[in-house]
Amino acid sequence: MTDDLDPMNDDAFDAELTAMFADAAPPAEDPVFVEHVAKRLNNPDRMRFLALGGAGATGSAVAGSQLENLVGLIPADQAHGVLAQALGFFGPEAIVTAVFGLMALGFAWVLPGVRSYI
Amino acid sequence: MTPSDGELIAMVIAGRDQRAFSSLVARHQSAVRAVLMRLCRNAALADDLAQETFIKAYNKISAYTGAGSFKAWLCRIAYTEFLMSARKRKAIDKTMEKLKAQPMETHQAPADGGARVDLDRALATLGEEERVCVVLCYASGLSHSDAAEVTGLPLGTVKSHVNRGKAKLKAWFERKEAAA
Repeated sequence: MTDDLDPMNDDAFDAELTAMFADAAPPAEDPVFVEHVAKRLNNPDRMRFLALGGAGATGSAVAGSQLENLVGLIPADQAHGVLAQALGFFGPEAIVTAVFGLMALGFAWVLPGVRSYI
Repeated sequence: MTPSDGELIAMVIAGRDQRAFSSLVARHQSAVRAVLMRLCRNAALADDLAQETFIKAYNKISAYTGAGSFKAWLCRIAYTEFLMSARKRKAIDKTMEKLKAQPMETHQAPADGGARVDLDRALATLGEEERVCVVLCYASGLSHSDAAEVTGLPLGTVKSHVNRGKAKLKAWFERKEAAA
């Protein structure tokens, strides 16, 4: 506390109080504490990781199960364009697997990792 | 030549430079932990909150505009962390009440931490805002203006709280000395 002090109040007790706070303070140098902070900077937030990962996995499972039904309902001879080619070539299961893979990549992108935390 | 806070902050913002940020942590950890220790009166909790303070500071460092000192900015994050933690932990207030209720004549201070315990007991007799203002100014060495910015209180109010708090602490220590 260096400014705004009324000199009249800057008495011996002020110095005594400052000394008491200084004695009770943590050491000026504490490499262990600094190391703990550095380690936490390197580690993604585990709770956020679990929450986002859990929500993403649940959402993907629900969406994927519906997608498989939807794709399975389309007769291959009535499909047109790219979808028809894909259905004929890969089948509904392979398409759903690919969609799952894309969803997983999407969640991996938004989850905290090297890109967002370091 | 030791880089200034501003230079280190610029390095962190530019390249997420962890070594630069570690230098900032090393430079300010004592002040931040001192404030939290006097506010929490629990060293383990204070260190947890201090770590959280630095993690938040790292993640939000681009929000630091340089308007005030970096230490004051860190103390504001630390104070917010303390308030959030205190809301979650009502038990802290109960402990404070218990400590306030204990007559100081019966207090047997531990040999190695007597002065610290006395300081914490004396601080517990202050009003909440008085205690926060005194701790910010004396534990971390913030100016009254910085303390006003951290707490959101008007500068005049902070000055009043600090002066009144200091007078109360002085009276507490005088009573203690007379009783000894």
